[in-house]
Amino acid sequence: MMSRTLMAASTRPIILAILSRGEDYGYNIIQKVKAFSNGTIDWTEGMIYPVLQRMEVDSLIISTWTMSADRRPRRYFRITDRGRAELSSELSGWRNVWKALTHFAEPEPAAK
Amino acid sequence: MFDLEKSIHVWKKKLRTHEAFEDGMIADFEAHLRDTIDALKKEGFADEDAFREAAARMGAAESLASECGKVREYALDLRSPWRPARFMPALLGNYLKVALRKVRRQKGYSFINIGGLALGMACAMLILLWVLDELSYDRFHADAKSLFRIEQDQKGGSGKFHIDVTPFGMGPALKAEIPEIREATRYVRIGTPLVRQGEKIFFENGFAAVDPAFLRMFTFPTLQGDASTALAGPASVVLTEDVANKYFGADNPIGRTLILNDRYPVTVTAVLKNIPANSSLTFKALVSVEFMKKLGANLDDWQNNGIFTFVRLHEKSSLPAVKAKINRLVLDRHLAGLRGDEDNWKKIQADPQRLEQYHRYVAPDCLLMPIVDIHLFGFIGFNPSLQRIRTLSAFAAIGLFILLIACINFMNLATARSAGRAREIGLRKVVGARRRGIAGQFYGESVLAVGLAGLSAVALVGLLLPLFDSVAGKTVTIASLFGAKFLFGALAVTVLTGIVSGSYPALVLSAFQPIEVLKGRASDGARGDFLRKILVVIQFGLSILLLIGMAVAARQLEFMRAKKIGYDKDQLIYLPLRGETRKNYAALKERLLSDPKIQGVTGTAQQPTEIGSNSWEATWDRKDPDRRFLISCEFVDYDYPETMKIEMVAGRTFSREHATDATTAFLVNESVPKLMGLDAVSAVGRRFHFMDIDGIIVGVMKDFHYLSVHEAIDPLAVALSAGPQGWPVNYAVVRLKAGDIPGALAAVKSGWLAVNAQYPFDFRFFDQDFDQMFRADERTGIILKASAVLAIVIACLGLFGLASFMAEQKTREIGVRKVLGASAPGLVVLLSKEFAKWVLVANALAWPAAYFIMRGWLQQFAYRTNIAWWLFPAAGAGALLIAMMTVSFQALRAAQTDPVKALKYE
Repeated sequence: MMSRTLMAASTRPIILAILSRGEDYGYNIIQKVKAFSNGTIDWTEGMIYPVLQRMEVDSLIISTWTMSADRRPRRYFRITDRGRAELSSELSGWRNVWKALTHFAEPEPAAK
Repeated sequence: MFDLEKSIHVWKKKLRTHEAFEDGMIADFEAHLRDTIDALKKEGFADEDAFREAAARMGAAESLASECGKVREYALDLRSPWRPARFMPALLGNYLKVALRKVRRQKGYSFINIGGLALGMACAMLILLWVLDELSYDRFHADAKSLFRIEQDQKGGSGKFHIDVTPFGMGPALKAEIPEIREATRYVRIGTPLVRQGEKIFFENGFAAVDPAFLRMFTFPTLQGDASTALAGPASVVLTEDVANKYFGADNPIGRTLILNDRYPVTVTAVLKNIPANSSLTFKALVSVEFMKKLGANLDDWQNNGIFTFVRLHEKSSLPAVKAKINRLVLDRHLAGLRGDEDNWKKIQADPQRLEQYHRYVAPDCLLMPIVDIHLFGFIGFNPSLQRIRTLSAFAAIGLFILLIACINFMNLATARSAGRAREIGLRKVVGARRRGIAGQFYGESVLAVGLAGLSAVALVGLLLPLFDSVAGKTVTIASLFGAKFLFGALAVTVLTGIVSGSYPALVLSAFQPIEVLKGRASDGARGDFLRKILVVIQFGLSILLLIGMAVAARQLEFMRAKKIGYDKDQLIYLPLRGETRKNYAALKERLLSDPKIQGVTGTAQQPTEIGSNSWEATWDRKDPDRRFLISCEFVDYDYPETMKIEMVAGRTFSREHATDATTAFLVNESVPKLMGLDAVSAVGRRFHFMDIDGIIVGVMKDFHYLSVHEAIDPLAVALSAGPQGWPVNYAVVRLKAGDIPGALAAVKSGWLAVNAQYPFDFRFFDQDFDQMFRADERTGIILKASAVLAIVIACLGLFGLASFMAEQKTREIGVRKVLGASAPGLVVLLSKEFAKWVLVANALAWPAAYFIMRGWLQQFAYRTNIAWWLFPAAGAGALLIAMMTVSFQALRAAQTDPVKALKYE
């Protein structure tokens, strides 16, 4: 299981990453994350909607209501240019964190 | 059977009750829920289980809401957007508008409410002014905290006799020998010198002699001249502004000369600002203490206590240490006096018992009286006089009472009116007001109304100030209304009153449930009713208390006025003899007696209405040598009892036929034989040694009041001033023939001018002095009367408002009763009964309180009236009557309304 803070910090970049592959809706986003992580990233399902709403207010994504094939209304979210820029800066941030973390987690090489 | 759609509908509805969710968000949730349910059904879940699982996965409404709140927090104070702002400036305007509209729409009610409160506050403020003035005495000296007056407790058989005077020698000795004492000054009134400047001649009674340190120690600002050197020479005089103007007008007085008693020229060296009214040192001019030598004073004397000694201590001096040093010094001086008589001293030293007794009795116990306490706590006598401080606290209490009564009115009316405001509160709550906001609104309204009342009160105080000054004998000016202390006090009174009187409506009304209110069911119910009853009881209890207090004070005053003082004070005058006129006393007496309009003439050494000298030194045969008694002493001329018309109980009066009377005869009052353990008749002829006269008691006079009527009559011995030890006659006492007082006075004046041509004629009626004794009591009486009337008026104003409110509430009941045949008187009784009950309860509480308080108050009088039982029912009945008249007026109006109108009401 992940810590709450890490979960909270990673929610927005992961959503942006998923939407960078194409438009999607809330339920499906959650299912994708769950399936990929084998359940290790387990979001409280209702929690995603306030986050999505806030991201829309921040102009990272935009949404449209669409009637789906099973005649049920769904809100589809699409990433904006600003969202892509945010994603790339998040990515480089996370990579740097990852690099530092793995580097220092290794035992220090012995001095020659 | 489980209905999925219905369950989803209910689930949605529950979300909608929460302020955090908007419809769009709920649609998101619904879509998500349905997707989850579909997925679960595919896994084989039944409808109901799928729904429950999906809802559980969504999370609880509360936690969802808080997530929604987090992402929407834009405000700086992290306030969630669906919560109302803590402070809405726009609402303030509305609150103010509503409050002012209330004042305007309910004019009568507002008048009663605000007017009553203003009256109460004005009264409290006046009393506050008075208290502040009393407390301000002598605090204007820059060094007030380190200034003290030396006072003494003299020890004797009958207790400690406290005096505030000291011998001449003490001041310089204290300064020389006690390092903690930075400066010391003597202060002695020099009687009433005749002051001459060219053509201007007046007797002045405000001259005092002081040491040069006086002007350094006390803060009396100089207008002209140099204070530090002004009193250096024995022939200098420092005038106050008014006296300087009186003698020199616009001319520069510095360097000019005044002649005192036609003999001593003194030069003006400085002019001081007039002495402030709140100074307990009240002089018009100062001369050097050296001047007293010319009048025959011995400045090194340690025997006689007659002058004030003030000291200034170094900061941080320990008072007990200084006191101990002073006592040691005084004891040393007394012992040194004894050592002069060497044989006697040896005897005393050899006998430890006598030495011990000496320490115990002879050397007085010196005390340091802070100068700031002199006005309120200064006293002379066996028991500390707490009259001033008691009066002060009594009036402070009365001020608080009246304010309390006015506050209670305010609260009562406000709570009574509250039902009418329930709808407003309900509506405010429906559109989003919170309890705190509503409480704030009520507090605000109450502070606003109290503020209005406060402003009116200040205006009222300004108007009443001249009247107040004349009643209270103060010189409080309009300027003192703007002093920081008064403004702060007035502000404190206003805010406190606002908060206290706003509390009940604010706390109770704000708790109303909007749904109940809008359905018309809310009221503060039994609780408010009960509170109102208690408040009315307190109000009337206090009013009755004041009524009884007023009656007892008036009766006591009447009692003292009617009390026989022991001599006939009517048609009796006295003439102060000053300077040379003393020598002419015999000639004056002879001349006056030759006029048939004059019945008798005698002379006294002390002011005949105030014989203040006394001594511990009386002895007689078979007196217990271990006990000492304080006996008042006076020297008089022949014809003393005859002129004063003092009744003789035994023996005879002074007589020229007995040659030895001038040197040995004593007249005593009835208290002296009692002290000696004898009756009046057997005291006559007994040896009596007093005032250095080895004499005989020749007669016993009936006890008479030779001091204020407030005080008990102490033992008094009188000898003739003609003897070698006698004091000179300083006052001529003249009895005029009744019938033609102006004619008799003219005769006295012409007699005076014939003998003392160059001295102004001056006299006083005994009646005048007598009236003066009662001035303080009369003042107390007037203030008590005014406050009792005010209390009743304010309480009735409140009752009037309350009764009108009750009548209004019972409009329908009254209508129905009238339709069914009730008579108007019957209805009045119905409405008044309730109030009568409360006023009766108030009586039950006020009576014992009044009894104990007034019994305590009467203790300060040596001669006091009883507290008549009928005062209590009378005051109670009076209060009840006034209350009933107030209520009946309203009740009658209600009872006379047309029942049809009453029933159409609402």
